[in-house]
Amino acid sequence: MNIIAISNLSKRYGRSIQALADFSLAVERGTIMGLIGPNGAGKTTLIKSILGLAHADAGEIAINGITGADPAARASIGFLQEKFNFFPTYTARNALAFFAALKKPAGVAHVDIAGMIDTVARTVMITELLDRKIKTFSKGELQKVGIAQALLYEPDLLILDEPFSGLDPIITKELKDIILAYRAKGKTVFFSSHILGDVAQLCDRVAIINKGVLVRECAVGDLTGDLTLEDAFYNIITGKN
Amino acid sequence: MNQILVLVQNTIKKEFTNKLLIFMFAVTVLIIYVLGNISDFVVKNISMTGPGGQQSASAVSAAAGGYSFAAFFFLIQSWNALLAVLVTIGGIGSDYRYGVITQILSQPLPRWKYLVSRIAGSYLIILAYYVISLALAFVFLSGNFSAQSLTPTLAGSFAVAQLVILFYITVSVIMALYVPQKIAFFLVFILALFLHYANYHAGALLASGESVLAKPVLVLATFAFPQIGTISKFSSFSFTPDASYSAAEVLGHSALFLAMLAAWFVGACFAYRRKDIS
Repeated sequence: MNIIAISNLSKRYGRSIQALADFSLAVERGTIMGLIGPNGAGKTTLIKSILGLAHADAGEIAINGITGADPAARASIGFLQEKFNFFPTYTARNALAFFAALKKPAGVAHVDIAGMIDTVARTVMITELLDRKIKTFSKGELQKVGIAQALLYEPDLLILDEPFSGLDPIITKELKDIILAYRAKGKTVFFSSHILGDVAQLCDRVAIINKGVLVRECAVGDLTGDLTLEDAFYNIITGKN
Repeated sequence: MNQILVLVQNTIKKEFTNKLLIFMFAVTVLIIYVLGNISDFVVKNISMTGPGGQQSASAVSAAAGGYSFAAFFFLIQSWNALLAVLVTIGGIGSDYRYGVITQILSQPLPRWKYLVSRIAGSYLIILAYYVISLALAFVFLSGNFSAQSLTPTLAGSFAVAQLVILFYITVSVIMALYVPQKIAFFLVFILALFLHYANYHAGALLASGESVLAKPVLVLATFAFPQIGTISKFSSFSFTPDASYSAAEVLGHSALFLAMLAAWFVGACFAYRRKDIS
């Protein structure tokens, strides 16, 4: 069953920029899918459309069978933006408590938010950072807090926008391990990236977007063959097959 | 916990340490101190030169205290409009500045709840500031100012003043969603000044029957927007003893004002539902 079903999505900014053009894509449950494309290809617009942050001119999105227009569809999504940030005077614990309270499913009488924060903090290895203020965090530490908030309530689907951008190798490795462990639990991860080595290493499937159009969607192995992902991607985008 | 409550708490938590708010509070305390000294000076000089002895001195003291309090009340009503705009625009602005808006609206949260929460949070901050300032002024300025001075008129002014604050907060939220902070700040006040002008002159223009180019604009501004000019007038009616407004007049205008403000807010929610977040 597909956890994300996108059909004929179109989005235009102003008169000149066609960010998405009749874009259709399905993401299968329990897989890791990478979304790659050149700068300005429409990756972030696609992710924002899935999250209800950008409104498509045409087409439909369904998350877990619920239309994307319904905020309830986002209950099964954990999202991390490229540069996670929060109010500087909050501690990481308070920031996570805020998101946990905001995400709390309707109709659930009690949630052990403190326990849940401790669990995700252990998972992303930020237990010792929890009581520090956000303003003291490095970019890598902030991203870890961001991934922790995305993991609250163990959502069925993780959506990460350029998650490895600007991270040092240690934090990149830790983040990759978290993503692989999450897939091992039967969850789905959908992320965009410019770092093709990471995509090749992590993903089951890859979707290539260029000028708002889905150019290719397949298993990573089917795309590369004897080539590296970088060469295969370059050939597809430039038309040199 | 209810999502609205979570966001209201967040608004208060992130804004109560707002340096501007702290500065404004310090200025307020200074104003109370200055008014208190002026009041003491007046009491001392009048009772020294006056013919009435001790009883007269206490009467003068009560009157001076009452006037100081009234002056402060009038001042803080204008002051609060400025504060409401600054706190609200700053609050929405920080959501965008830190990129938190993207994380918040990617949650299973209808956008109207976000807007309601930010309005409610900002209102509670301003209300707290207002009440604390008035309490301080009451204690330090009133002298022999008795509980009898707390008239229904004063209470009415206070209640109507809440509508004025709500207006500035709601308009600030709407502006801050679409334009940069500094521009939003000026737009709110330009709109408010324009509406004040329209409210004061639309009636006279209609009655005059003269064909004025601005007439349709002023009339439209008066009947298509909340009548902030009229409500501001009511909110300061305890300082205009010659003004006589009936309770029905005040209540009717207040209800209409709230309905109009709510209609504008609902419209803003619909527009914001479709807005791309960047």
